[in-house]
Amino acid sequence: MSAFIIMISIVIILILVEVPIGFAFGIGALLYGTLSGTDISFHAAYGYSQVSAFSLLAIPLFVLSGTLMGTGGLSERILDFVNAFVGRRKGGLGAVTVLSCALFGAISGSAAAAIAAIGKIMIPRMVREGYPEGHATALVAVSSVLALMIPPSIPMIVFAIATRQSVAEVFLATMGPGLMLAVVYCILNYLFLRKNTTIVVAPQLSYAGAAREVARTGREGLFALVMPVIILGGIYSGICTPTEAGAVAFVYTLVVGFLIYRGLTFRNLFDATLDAATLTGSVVILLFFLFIMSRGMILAQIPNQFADMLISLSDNRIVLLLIINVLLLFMGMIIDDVSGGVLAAIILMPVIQKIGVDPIHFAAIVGTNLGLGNISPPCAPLLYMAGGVSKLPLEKYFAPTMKFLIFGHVPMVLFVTFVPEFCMFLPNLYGG
Amino acid sequence: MTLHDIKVHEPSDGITLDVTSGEAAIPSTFDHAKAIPERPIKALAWVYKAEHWLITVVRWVAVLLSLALGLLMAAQVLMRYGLQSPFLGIEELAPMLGLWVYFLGMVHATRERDHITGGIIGLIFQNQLLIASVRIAGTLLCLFAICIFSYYAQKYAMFNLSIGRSSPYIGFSKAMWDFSMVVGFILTGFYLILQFISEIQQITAIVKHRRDDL
Repeated sequence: MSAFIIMISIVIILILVEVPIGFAFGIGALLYGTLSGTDISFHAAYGYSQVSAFSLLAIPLFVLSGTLMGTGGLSERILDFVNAFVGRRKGGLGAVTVLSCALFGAISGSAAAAIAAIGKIMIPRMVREGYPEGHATALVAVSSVLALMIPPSIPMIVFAIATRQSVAEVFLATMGPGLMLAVVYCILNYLFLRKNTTIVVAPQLSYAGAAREVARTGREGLFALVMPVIILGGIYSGICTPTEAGAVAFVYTLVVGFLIYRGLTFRNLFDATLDAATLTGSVVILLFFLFIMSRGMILAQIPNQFADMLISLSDNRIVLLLIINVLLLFMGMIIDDVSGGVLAAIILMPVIQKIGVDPIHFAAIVGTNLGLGNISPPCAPLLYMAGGVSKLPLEKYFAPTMKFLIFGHVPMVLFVTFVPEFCMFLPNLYGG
Repeated sequence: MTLHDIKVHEPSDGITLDVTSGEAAIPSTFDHAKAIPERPIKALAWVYKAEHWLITVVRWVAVLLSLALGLLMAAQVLMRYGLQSPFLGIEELAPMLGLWVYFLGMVHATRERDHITGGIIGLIFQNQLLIASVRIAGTLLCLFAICIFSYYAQKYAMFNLSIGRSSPYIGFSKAMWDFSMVVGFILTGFYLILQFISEIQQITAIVKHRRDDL
């Protein structure tokens, strides 16, 4: 256990001093092997065997589809369509941002991609129409988390692989909380801005005019809007696996981007594919080192010892669930969502099994919590990324973010944790 | 697109470097040095020239294999569900393409400093020399780890090659899969060395700038 504590401390320090998270895990694995006297010669072969898994191919395929979607003009059509519904009301553009992130999440599965695609368009647009800059940045940051919760979600794919659960059921566990959180953020956005006098709202249209606008943007965005239906419909009807759905999404985006919206050219296809390969490389290599580090911990029975230690603190299920929530929050604050999902699966799963929590319910707790951690300072990667898009200093968007988190995300985390029926409804319906 | 593009804190006395002339200029941000500096060192011009060709090949291969992976998997979906006749060889071939994409993606991410990164030293410290020194120590640690992983990766690949392992359906040598990891780690090591050189240049320029100020 002492070797584990030293290793984890070193890994955290390395992450805090800007060593890439994947490499920090690699250094941690070597250090742990040395301290615990285990053989490190199998490390590379083990990590390699794990990332060779066929099911992991869903990651490059969804990342590629998401990147091409932004380049091919599909994201803009989604924004226009949502804007036609709610854009002409006070706080409407904020709601457009939230709902577009949710819809984008239903295609790309990456919060970073949602910030890049939606944030770059919506933050300048909101600021231009009088939204406080800090509020606009905070809204994009907190909404990006919806992409982690609404399937297909890359962290949830990895979580399902690590816990050997059904990817489809894990997806459904975070879907309900994700959709409800989208509604909560729209309401909070309205409440926070209702007394703001600087916001310019586009003139209201008559019912007929609004219907025409919805019909027009719906017609123009039809090919983008049916994409979630194709992906999720394919997975949940049992027609294809998540990996195959990723391949279908890729071909569909290519066809729509090249032939229908004509946003894709061979030049930007090359650039977007290279971006996707780079992002995929940085995610999978992180998993490579993380799997190695995790194997060392499993061989040393660390997760079981950790479970015993937690259970010795209290035998009250509510207290243990609260402790797990706090641990997940800290995990999310320090590392990214993908690593957090795997670490939670490995370290906390034994505790979860001992206190009788369903693994699918645990998936919902992990998905909701890691999202919260990823936007909670000091190490809030998604929050800073949104700040990078708006080019604002942290102090300008820190307070608005905290308001969204305290009144929106934290209650949702507690709701998901203590009302399992809420997140288990869809998986139970699907599993029969 | 990746999480690494995070600029929370911009020290007011940020410095960028003209490594060719050795002059230090005042820019708006103090960025983490990349493997390929904007103005490469003259003495290493041949390395950067070779690197230019290398990265062009890496980029093209990564892009073509990514597209091939998507199309191959789509073909599998068509064969499995449309023609009711799946070709199992595709399920062998697809992970090979995936592995090459992952490892070449890692190489490119190292070159562009696009790895997923956290970190708060820029938030806590103002001293650029301290920040740059911590960063260079981190790069050295990464390089050390990558060297060890490269060694074991090549041992594993050579072992598989020596026993003549091949894939069960299409009969390709497993070396085509295994060497993705070896190539990935060696090239990542190469870019970490270049980054180390860039960071030394950056530190030198910070020191020189301070001395000039005095």
